[in-house]
Amino acid sequence: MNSTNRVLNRGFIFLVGLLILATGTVLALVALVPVVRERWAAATKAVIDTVTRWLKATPLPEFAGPLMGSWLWLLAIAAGALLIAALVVFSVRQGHGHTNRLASVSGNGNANTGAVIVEAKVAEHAIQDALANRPELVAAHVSTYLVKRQSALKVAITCRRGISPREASRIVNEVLVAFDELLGLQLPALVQISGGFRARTTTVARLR
Amino acid sequence: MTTYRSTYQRISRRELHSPRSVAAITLAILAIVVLGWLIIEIVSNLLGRPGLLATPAGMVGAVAGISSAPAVLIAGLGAAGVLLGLLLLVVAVTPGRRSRHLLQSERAATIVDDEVIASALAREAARVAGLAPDNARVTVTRGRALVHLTPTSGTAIDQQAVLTAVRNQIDTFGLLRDLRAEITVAPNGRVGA
Repeated sequence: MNSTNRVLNRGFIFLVGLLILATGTVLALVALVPVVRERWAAATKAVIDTVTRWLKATPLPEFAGPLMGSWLWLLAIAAGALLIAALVVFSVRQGHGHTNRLASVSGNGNANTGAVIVEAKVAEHAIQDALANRPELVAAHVSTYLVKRQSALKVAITCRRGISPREASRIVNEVLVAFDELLGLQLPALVQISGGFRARTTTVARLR
Repeated sequence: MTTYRSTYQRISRRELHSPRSVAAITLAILAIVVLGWLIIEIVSNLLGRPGLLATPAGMVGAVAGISSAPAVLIAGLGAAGVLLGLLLLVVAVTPGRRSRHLLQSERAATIVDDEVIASALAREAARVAGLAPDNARVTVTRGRALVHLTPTSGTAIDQQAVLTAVRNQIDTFGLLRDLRAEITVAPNGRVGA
Protein backbone atom coordinates (compact mmCIF):
# COMPACT_ATOMS: atom_id res chain seq x y z
CA MET A 1 0.00 0.00 0.00
CA ASN A 2 3.03 2.26 0.24
CA SER A 3 4.05 4.67 -2.47
CA THR A 4 7.17 2.81 -3.64
CA ASN A 5 7.71 3.42 -7.35
CA ARG A 6 7.84 -0.18 -8.50
CA VAL A 7 8.30 0.61 -12.18
CA LEU A 8 11.39 2.62 -11.30
CA ASN A 9 12.70 -0.26 -9.14
CA ARG A 10 12.31 -2.73 -11.97
CA GLY A 11 13.70 -0.30 -14.53
CA PHE A 12 16.80 0.29 -12.39
CA ILE A 13 17.37 -3.46 -11.86
CA PHE A 14 16.87 -4.04 -15.60
CA LEU A 15 19.39 -1.34 -16.50
CA VAL A 16 22.06 -2.63 -14.08
CA GLY A 17 21.42 -6.18 -15.28
CA LEU A 18 21.84 -5.13 -18.90
CA LEU A 19 25.09 -3.30 -18.05
CA ILE A 20 26.56 -6.32 -16.21
CA LEU A 21 25.40 -8.68 -18.96
CA ALA A 22 27.06 -6.53 -21.64
CA THR A 23 30.32 -6.31 -19.66
CA GLY A 24 30.33 -10.07 -19.10
CA THR A 25 29.68 -10.74 -22.79
CA VAL A 26 32.55 -8.47 -23.85
CA LEU A 27 34.93 -10.15 -21.38
CA ALA A 28 33.93 -13.62 -22.59
CA LEU A 29 34.33 -12.60 -26.25
CA VAL A 30 37.78 -11.12 -25.61
CA ALA A 31 38.86 -14.29 -23.82
CA LEU A 32 37.43 -16.82 -26.25
CA VAL A 33 37.44 -15.33 -29.77
CA PRO A 34 40.98 -14.69 -31.16
CA VAL A 35 39.81 -12.03 -33.68
CA VAL A 36 38.14 -9.98 -30.94
CA ARG A 37 41.21 -10.32 -28.74
CA GLU A 38 43.47 -8.82 -31.42
CA ARG A 39 41.03 -6.00 -32.12
CA TRP A 40 40.65 -5.30 -28.38
CA ALA A 41 44.31 -4.31 -27.95
CA ALA A 42 44.22 -1.95 -30.94
CA ALA A 43 40.85 -0.43 -30.02
CA THR A 44 41.74 0.26 -26.37
CA LYS A 45 45.06 1.79 -27.45
CA ALA A 46 43.25 4.20 -29.78
CA VAL A 47 40.77 5.18 -27.06
CA ILE A 48 43.52 5.71 -24.47
CA ASP A 49 45.49 7.88 -26.89
CA THR A 50 42.45 10.07 -27.62
CA VAL A 51 41.54 10.50 -23.96
CA THR A 52 45.16 11.27 -23.02
CA ARG A 53 45.21 13.99 -25.69
CA TRP A 54 42.01 15.48 -24.25
CA LEU A 55 43.39 15.45 -20.73
CA LYS A 56 46.63 17.12 -21.84
CA ALA A 57 44.66 19.79 -23.76
CA THR A 58 42.59 20.76 -20.73
CA PRO A 59 45.00 21.63 -17.90
CA LEU A 60 43.77 23.19 -14.68
CA PRO A 61 44.60 26.91 -14.33
CA GLU A 62 47.56 27.94 -12.13
CA PHE A 63 45.42 29.19 -9.24
CA ALA A 64 43.84 25.75 -8.64
CA GLY A 65 46.15 25.28 -5.68
CA PRO A 66 47.44 21.78 -4.97
CA LEU A 67 45.34 20.22 -7.77
CA MET A 68 47.25 19.10 -10.82
CA GLY A 69 45.88 17.62 -14.03
CA SER A 70 42.92 18.17 -16.32
CA TRP A 71 39.71 19.94 -15.33
CA LEU A 72 37.85 17.12 -17.08
CA TRP A 73 38.42 15.17 -13.86
CA LEU A 74 36.38 17.76 -11.98
CA LEU A 75 33.51 17.18 -14.42
CA ALA A 76 33.79 13.44 -13.78
CA ILE A 77 33.69 14.01 -10.01
CA ALA A 78 30.62 16.25 -10.34
CA ALA A 79 28.83 13.65 -12.49
CA GLY A 80 29.69 10.93 -9.97
CA ALA A 81 28.43 13.04 -7.06
CA LEU A 82 25.17 13.75 -8.90
CA LEU A 83 24.67 10.06 -9.61
CA ILE A 84 25.33 9.21 -5.94
CA ALA A 85 22.79 11.83 -4.85
CA ALA A 86 20.20 10.39 -7.26
CA LEU A 87 20.81 6.86 -5.96
CA VAL A 88 20.50 7.98 -2.33
CA VAL A 89 17.19 9.73 -3.08
CA PHE A 90 16.03 6.62 -4.94
CA SER A 91 16.79 4.37 -1.94
CA VAL A 92 15.33 6.69 0.68
CA ARG A 93 12.10 7.21 -1.27
CA GLN A 94 11.10 3.54 -0.85
CA GLY A 95 8.27 2.48 1.42
CA HIS A 96 6.64 5.83 2.19
CA GLY A 97 2.99 6.75 1.84
CA HIS A 98 1.68 6.89 5.43
CA THR A 99 -0.76 9.65 6.24
CA ASN A 100 -2.01 10.95 9.57
CA ARG A 101 -5.25 12.39 8.21
CA LEU A 102 -8.23 10.05 8.01
CA ALA A 103 -10.86 12.40 6.60
CA SER A 104 -11.67 16.07 6.43
CA VAL A 105 -15.14 17.55 6.06
CA SER A 106 -15.39 21.16 4.97
CA GLY A 107 -18.25 23.47 5.90
CA ASN A 108 -20.02 23.25 2.49
CA GLY A 109 -19.06 26.82 1.60
CA ASN A 110 -20.89 28.21 4.60
CA ALA A 111 -18.56 30.60 6.37
CA ASN A 112 -20.10 29.94 9.78
CA THR A 113 -19.45 26.20 9.86
CA GLY A 114 -15.86 25.22 10.38
CA ALA A 115 -14.00 22.30 8.86
CA VAL A 116 -13.64 18.99 10.66
CA ILE A 117 -10.44 16.99 10.44
CA VAL A 118 -10.30 13.40 11.67
CA GLU A 119 -6.84 12.10 12.46
CA ALA A 120 -5.74 8.62 11.44
CA LYS A 121 -5.00 7.74 15.08
CA VAL A 122 -8.78 7.65 15.70
CA ALA A 123 -9.23 4.72 13.33
CA GLU A 124 -6.00 3.04 14.34
CA HIS A 125 -6.79 3.04 18.06
CA ALA A 126 -10.49 2.21 17.70
CA ILE A 127 -9.98 -0.77 15.39
CA GLN A 128 -6.90 -2.06 17.19
CA ASP A 129 -8.68 -1.96 20.55
CA ALA A 130 -11.72 -3.73 19.15
CA LEU A 131 -9.54 -6.52 17.77
CA ALA A 132 -7.21 -6.75 20.78
CA ASN A 133 -9.37 -9.03 22.89
CA ARG A 134 -10.41 -11.50 20.20
CA PRO A 135 -9.01 -14.91 21.20
CA GLU A 136 -8.65 -16.00 17.55
CA LEU A 137 -6.05 -13.33 16.83
CA VAL A 138 -2.53 -13.12 18.19
CA ALA A 139 -1.95 -9.52 17.13
CA ALA A 140 -3.59 -6.72 15.17
CA HIS A 141 -1.98 -3.63 13.74
CA VAL A 142 -3.75 -0.80 11.91
CA SER A 143 -2.06 1.84 9.77
CA THR A 144 -3.29 4.48 7.33
CA TYR A 145 -1.90 5.06 3.85
CA LEU A 146 -2.66 7.50 1.08
CA VAL A 147 -3.72 5.53 -2.01
CA LYS A 148 -4.82 7.47 -5.08
CA ARG A 149 -5.15 10.64 -2.97
CA GLN A 150 -7.55 8.83 -0.65
CA SER A 151 -6.88 7.66 2.90
CA ALA A 152 -7.04 3.88 3.11
CA LEU A 153 -6.86 1.67 6.18
CA LYS A 154 -4.58 -1.33 6.43
CA VAL A 155 -5.54 -3.87 9.08
CA ALA A 156 -2.80 -6.48 9.50
CA ILE A 157 -3.73 -9.36 11.75
CA THR A 158 -1.84 -12.44 12.91
CA CYS A 159 -4.05 -15.50 13.40
CA ARG A 160 -3.63 -18.39 15.74
CA ARG A 161 -2.74 -21.69 14.14
CA GLY A 162 -5.61 -23.42 12.35
CA ILE A 163 -8.06 -20.50 12.33
CA SER A 164 -10.08 -20.33 9.11
CA PRO A 165 -9.17 -17.21 7.11
CA ARG A 166 -12.89 -16.74 6.39
CA GLU A 167 -13.54 -16.54 10.12
CA ALA A 168 -10.70 -14.06 10.62
CA SER A 169 -11.97 -11.96 7.71
CA ARG A 170 -15.50 -11.97 9.19
CA ILE A 171 -14.23 -10.74 12.57
CA VAL A 172 -12.32 -7.85 11.02
CA ASN A 173 -15.17 -6.95 8.65
CA GLU A 174 -17.57 -6.69 11.59
CA VAL A 175 -15.23 -4.28 13.33
CA LEU A 176 -14.73 -2.27 10.15
CA VAL A 177 -18.46 -1.96 9.51
CA ALA A 178 -18.99 -0.84 13.11
CA PHE A 179 -16.25 1.76 12.67
CA ASP A 180 -17.82 2.98 9.39
CA GLU A 181 -21.00 3.67 11.32
CA LEU A 182 -19.07 5.51 14.01
CA LEU A 183 -17.19 7.64 11.47
CA GLY A 184 -20.17 8.19 9.19
CA LEU A 185 -18.34 7.31 6.00
CA GLN A 186 -16.70 4.30 4.43
CA LEU A 187 -12.98 4.35 3.68
CA PRO A 188 -11.26 1.78 1.47
CA ALA A 189 -9.60 -0.88 3.60
CA LEU A 190 -7.14 -3.72 3.23
CA VAL A 191 -7.19 -6.70 5.56
CA GLN A 192 -3.98 -8.69 5.61
CA ILE A 193 -4.22 -12.07 7.32
CA SER A 194 -0.93 -13.73 8.15
CA GLY A 195 0.31 -16.57 10.31
CA GLY A 196 3.72 -15.40 11.40
CA PHE A 197 6.28 -16.69 13.83
CA ARG A 198 4.28 -16.10 17.01
CA ALA A 199 1.34 -18.08 15.63
CA ARG A 200 3.63 -21.03 14.97
CA THR A 201 5.20 -21.05 18.42
CA THR A 202 1.93 -20.86 20.33
CA THR A 203 1.24 -24.51 21.00
CA VAL A 204 -2.12 -26.13 20.35
CA ALA A 205 -3.89 -27.74 23.29
CA ARG A 206 -3.95 -31.48 22.75
CA LEU A 207 -6.51 -33.72 24.40
CA ARG A 208 -6.10 -37.47 24.32
CA MET B 1 -16.30 -1.97 -2.47
CA THR B 2 -17.77 -0.46 -5.64
CA THR B 3 -17.06 3.20 -4.88
CA TYR B 4 -13.31 2.72 -4.75
CA ARG B 5 -12.95 0.08 -7.47
CA SER B 6 -9.67 1.35 -8.91
CA THR B 7 -8.22 1.94 -5.43
CA TYR B 8 -9.04 -1.64 -4.47
CA GLN B 9 -7.59 -2.96 -7.72
CA ARG B 10 -4.36 -1.07 -7.10
CA ILE B 11 -4.11 -2.25 -3.48
CA SER B 12 -4.76 -5.90 -4.37
CA ARG B 13 -2.31 -5.92 -7.26
CA ARG B 14 0.43 -4.35 -5.16
CA GLU B 15 -0.12 -6.72 -2.23
CA LEU B 16 0.07 -9.80 -4.46
CA HIS B 17 3.39 -8.87 -6.09
CA SER B 18 6.83 -8.08 -4.78
CA PRO B 19 8.00 -4.45 -4.99
CA ARG B 20 11.59 -5.60 -5.73
CA SER B 21 12.78 -3.05 -3.19
CA VAL B 22 15.44 -5.26 -1.63
CA ALA B 23 17.17 -5.96 -4.94
CA ALA B 24 16.92 -2.33 -6.06
CA ILE B 25 18.28 -0.89 -2.80
CA THR B 26 21.10 -3.45 -2.66
CA LEU B 27 22.17 -2.54 -6.20
CA ALA B 28 21.90 1.18 -5.40
CA ILE B 29 24.12 0.82 -2.31
CA LEU B 30 26.72 -1.19 -4.26
CA ALA B 31 26.69 1.44 -7.03
CA ILE B 32 27.11 4.22 -4.44
CA VAL B 33 30.12 2.42 -2.90
CA VAL B 34 31.78 1.90 -6.30
CA LEU B 35 31.14 5.51 -7.38
CA GLY B 36 32.46 6.83 -4.06
CA TRP B 37 35.61 4.78 -4.43
CA LEU B 38 36.17 6.06 -8.01
CA ILE B 39 35.74 9.65 -6.83
CA ILE B 40 38.27 9.14 -4.01
CA GLU B 41 40.77 7.67 -6.49
CA ILE B 42 40.29 10.62 -8.87
CA VAL B 43 40.70 13.19 -6.10
CA SER B 44 43.86 11.59 -4.73
CA ASN B 45 45.22 11.44 -8.26
CA LEU B 46 44.53 15.17 -8.73
CA LEU B 47 46.29 15.91 -5.43
CA GLY B 48 49.25 13.87 -6.59
CA ARG B 49 48.89 11.34 -3.76
CA PRO B 50 48.87 7.54 -4.12
CA GLY B 51 45.34 6.12 -4.48
CA LEU B 52 43.59 3.62 -2.20
CA LEU B 53 43.79 0.63 -4.53
CA ALA B 54 44.72 1.86 -8.00
CA THR B 55 45.25 5.07 -9.95
CA PRO B 56 42.87 5.92 -12.83
CA ALA B 57 45.67 5.22 -15.29
CA GLY B 58 46.29 1.85 -13.66
CA MET B 59 42.61 0.91 -13.94
CA VAL B 60 42.46 1.82 -17.62
CA GLY B 61 45.67 -0.09 -18.21
CA ALA B 62 44.19 -3.17 -16.55
CA VAL B 63 41.08 -3.01 -18.75
CA ALA B 64 43.23 -2.62 -21.86
CA GLY B 65 45.47 -5.47 -20.76
CA ILE B 66 42.78 -8.13 -20.38
CA SER B 67 43.54 -9.45 -23.85
CA SER B 68 46.95 -10.59 -22.64
CA ALA B 69 45.71 -11.93 -19.28
CA PRO B 70 45.05 -15.68 -18.89
CA ALA B 71 42.03 -16.54 -21.05
CA VAL B 72 40.50 -18.88 -18.43
CA LEU B 73 40.39 -16.13 -15.82
CA ILE B 74 38.82 -13.57 -18.15
CA ALA B 75 36.35 -16.10 -19.55
CA GLY B 76 35.35 -17.06 -15.99
CA LEU B 77 34.79 -13.42 -15.06
CA GLY B 78 32.79 -12.92 -18.24
CA ALA B 79 30.64 -15.99 -17.58
CA ALA B 80 29.96 -14.80 -14.01
CA GLY B 81 28.95 -11.38 -15.38
CA VAL B 82 26.63 -12.93 -17.96
CA LEU B 83 24.95 -15.11 -15.30
CA LEU B 84 24.54 -12.24 -12.84
CA GLY B 85 23.21 -9.95 -15.57
CA LEU B 86 20.67 -12.54 -16.72
CA LEU B 87 19.60 -13.12 -13.11
CA LEU B 88 18.97 -9.40 -12.63
CA LEU B 89 17.01 -9.22 -15.91
CA VAL B 90 14.86 -12.12 -14.71
CA VAL B 91 14.28 -10.38 -11.35
CA ALA B 92 13.32 -7.16 -13.18
CA VAL B 93 10.89 -8.79 -15.60
CA THR B 94 9.16 -11.65 -13.72
CA PRO B 95 5.96 -10.78 -11.79
CA GLY B 96 7.42 -11.83 -8.42
CA ARG B 97 4.21 -13.28 -7.01
CA ARG B 98 3.99 -13.39 -3.24
CA SER B 99 2.57 -16.54 -1.69
CA ARG B 100 -0.78 -14.96 -0.88
CA HIS B 101 -4.38 -15.29 -2.01
CA LEU B 102 -7.24 -12.84 -2.39
CA LEU B 103 -10.41 -13.50 -0.43
CA GLN B 104 -13.86 -12.38 -1.51
CA SER B 105 -15.11 -9.84 0.97
CA GLU B 106 -17.97 -7.36 1.27
CA ARG B 107 -16.18 -4.58 3.04
CA ALA B 108 -12.43 -4.70 2.39
CA ALA B 109 -9.79 -6.07 0.05
CA THR B 110 -8.66 -9.16 1.94
CA ILE B 111 -5.30 -10.85 1.45
CA VAL B 112 -4.44 -14.15 3.13
CA ASP B 113 -0.98 -15.65 3.45
CA ASP B 114 -0.84 -19.16 1.97
CA GLU B 115 0.52 -20.27 5.34
CA VAL B 116 -2.78 -19.41 7.06
CA ILE B 117 -4.82 -21.29 4.45
CA ALA B 118 -2.51 -24.30 4.81
CA SER B 119 -2.77 -24.24 8.58
CA ALA B 120 -6.60 -24.14 8.50
CA LEU B 121 -6.73 -26.98 5.94
CA ALA B 122 -4.25 -29.06 7.97
CA ARG B 123 -6.40 -28.74 11.05
CA GLU B 124 -9.52 -29.83 9.13
CA ALA B 125 -7.72 -32.74 7.43
CA ALA B 126 -6.29 -33.94 10.74
CA ARG B 127 -9.71 -33.74 12.38
CA VAL B 128 -11.47 -35.76 9.66
CA ALA B 129 -8.65 -38.33 9.41
CA GLY B 130 -8.49 -38.70 13.18
CA LEU B 131 -4.83 -37.71 13.42
CA ALA B 132 -2.86 -35.42 15.69
CA PRO B 133 -2.51 -31.94 14.09
CA ASP B 134 1.21 -32.42 13.54
CA ASN B 135 0.65 -35.41 11.26
CA ALA B 136 -1.20 -33.46 8.60
CA ARG B 137 1.03 -31.22 6.53
CA VAL B 138 -0.40 -28.92 3.85
CA THR B 139 1.44 -26.99 1.16
CA VAL B 140 -0.47 -24.25 -0.62
CA THR B 141 0.77 -22.98 -3.98
CA ARG B 142 -0.88 -20.60 -6.43
CA GLY B 143 -3.46 -23.09 -7.70
CA ARG B 144 -3.14 -26.18 -5.51
CA ALA B 145 -3.38 -27.38 -1.94
CA LEU B 146 -1.31 -30.52 -1.31
CA VAL B 147 -2.32 -32.42 1.81
CA HIS B 148 0.23 -34.86 3.14
CA LEU B 149 -0.95 -37.24 5.86
CA THR B 150 1.10 -39.56 8.06
CA PRO B 151 -1.26 -42.25 9.38
CA THR B 152 -1.06 -44.06 12.70
CA SER B 153 0.62 -47.43 12.10
CA GLY B 154 -1.87 -50.18 11.34
CA THR B 155 -4.86 -47.93 10.61
CA ALA B 156 -6.27 -46.84 7.30
CA ILE B 157 -7.28 -43.30 6.37
CA ASP B 158 -10.52 -42.60 4.51
CA GLN B 159 -8.89 -40.50 1.80
CA GLN B 160 -12.16 -39.71 0.05
CA ALA B 161 -13.68 -38.31 3.25
CA VAL B 162 -10.59 -36.15 3.89
CA LEU B 163 -10.60 -34.92 0.29
CA THR B 164 -14.28 -33.98 0.49
CA ALA B 165 -13.78 -32.21 3.81
CA VAL B 166 -10.78 -30.26 2.51
CA ARG B 167 -12.67 -29.30 -0.67
CA ASN B 168 -15.64 -28.10 1.36
CA GLN B 169 -13.35 -26.10 3.61
CA ILE B 170 -11.70 -24.44 0.59
CA ASP B 171 -15.17 -23.56 -0.72
CA THR B 172 -16.10 -21.85 2.54
CA PHE B 173 -13.01 -19.62 2.31
CA GLY B 174 -14.31 -17.97 -0.85
CA LEU B 175 -10.92 -17.51 -2.50
CA LEU B 176 -10.92 -15.47 -5.70
CA ARG B 177 -8.61 -18.03 -7.28
CA ASP B 178 -9.80 -21.54 -6.52
CA LEU B 179 -7.44 -24.17 -5.09
CA ARG B 180 -7.36 -27.77 -6.31
CA ALA B 181 -6.94 -30.19 -3.40
CA GLU B 182 -4.70 -33.25 -3.63
CA ILE B 183 -4.03 -35.84 -0.96
CA THR B 184 -1.02 -38.06 -0.42
CA VAL B 185 -0.71 -40.56 2.41
CA ALA B 186 2.72 -41.56 3.63
CA PRO B 187 3.41 -45.26 2.88
CA ASN B 188 4.87 -45.79 6.35
CA GLY B 189 2.76 -44.93 9.36
CA ARG B 190 4.02 -43.64 12.65
CA VAL B 191 3.51 -45.40 15.98
CA GLY B 192 1.35 -43.40 18.36
CA ALA B 193 0.50 -40.74 15.81
